[in-house]
Amino acid sequence: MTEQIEVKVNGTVHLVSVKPYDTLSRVLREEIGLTGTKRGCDYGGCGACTVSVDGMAVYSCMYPAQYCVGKEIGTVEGLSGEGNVSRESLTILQRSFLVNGGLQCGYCTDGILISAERLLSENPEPTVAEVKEALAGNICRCTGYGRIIESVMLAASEMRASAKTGGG
Amino acid sequence: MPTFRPERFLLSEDVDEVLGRLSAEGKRAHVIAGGTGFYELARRGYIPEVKSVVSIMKLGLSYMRKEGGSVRVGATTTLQALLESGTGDAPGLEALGDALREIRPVQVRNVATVGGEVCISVPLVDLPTALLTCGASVAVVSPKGEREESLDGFYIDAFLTRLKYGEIVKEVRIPAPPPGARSAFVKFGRTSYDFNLVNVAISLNAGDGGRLERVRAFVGGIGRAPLRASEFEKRLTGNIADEKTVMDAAAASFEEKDILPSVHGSKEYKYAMIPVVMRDCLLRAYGRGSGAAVH
Repeated sequence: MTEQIEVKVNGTVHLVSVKPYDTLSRVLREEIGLTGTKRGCDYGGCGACTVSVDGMAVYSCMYPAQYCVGKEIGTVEGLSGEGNVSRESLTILQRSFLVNGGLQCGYCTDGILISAERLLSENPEPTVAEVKEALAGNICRCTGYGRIIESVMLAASEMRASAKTGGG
Repeated sequence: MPTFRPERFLLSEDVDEVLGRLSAEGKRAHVIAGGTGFYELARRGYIPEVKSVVSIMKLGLSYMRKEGGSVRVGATTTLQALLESGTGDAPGLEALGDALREIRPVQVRNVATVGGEVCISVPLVDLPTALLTCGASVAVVSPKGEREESLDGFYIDAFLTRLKYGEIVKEVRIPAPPPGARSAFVKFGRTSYDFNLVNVAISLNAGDGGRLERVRAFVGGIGRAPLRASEFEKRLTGNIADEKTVMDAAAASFEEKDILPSVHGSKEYKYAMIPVVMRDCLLRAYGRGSGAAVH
């Protein structure tokens, strides 16, 4: 039995059709077309599908679509403004991954960016241990994690400096 | 792989509608809370027969309140909310805080619920071991009314609890720990976010000179449900425990042939790890008191 629900993603409300077994990741990718949210293991083991729901990092592959009504969903496309992927428009965090080699193949990156962005919004000055804890649910098979952690730490300090000078 | 294709998803604020649907559909309906464990099982092909998914998330069961000395935690309270409440940092309830921190990642803790973690009855989850050690019970509601059931005895087998069709767990009740009690939980797993191979929760009271006056210990991950380490409790209670006594008591509490193996840990391996994890857990609990170190 298909039903129509309203889902708000990156500030925009979408009317989508969902089936009783749909999870948020399918809705994002196939109904709305936001393919930044990746499908990895599809059962909560890899973190590629991480999005934010009401400000909390969640696995969209195991989040029932029906639970999204009335919630604010955030995906990687929303970090720098939807559809805007020019280098200049990237956030400090995204640029840090680019500049510091925080990715190789990139498949896990979108989920990692959400996890890291959620961490930094709550804790602007994390320790390396706190970064590792926040990223424990995001698997990367290329980088060995060193550069990812570095990218988050460097972004955090740049964001703090930028907040002090009032820059963006 | 069998396909998971339910025909209905019920997300209702009406408890009578939820319980009615569960009663009427029996094994064709499956109750869910946060859904994390359920969707993982579904994707792995373990839930093919279900026609209706019935959610309890809109029943107003996300709460924590103190009643007398005990804490009542609503079934749909997320693990992260319980962790952040500090309930598991109270003296005697530290095992709960330890267990919640060990349930990774945060993406799961943000969605998974206390009721779900208690009811899913997968042999590899962490919170039930800690709750059992803290003497927790569950409030069960059905169209016939409400009853309280001790968690000790609630688990019959893997994926099987004392819940009947048409019943749900409404809240988990954590009693006030005995005065002077301290506890700990230790998880041993392959990676930081993986399921456990062995987990242990111990609550104790210690007297002068480190004599153990009360010991309550449960071990998870090694059986089809969390198991009480009765022999361990018996041998250590009333004694000042040295390392050999602790390790021997742990090994004597279980038999290798009864251990549930998994892809990451054979019977032999898990059995060998039990005394190590139990010793670490005992030390951690003991170290939370002001007494001398374990000899």
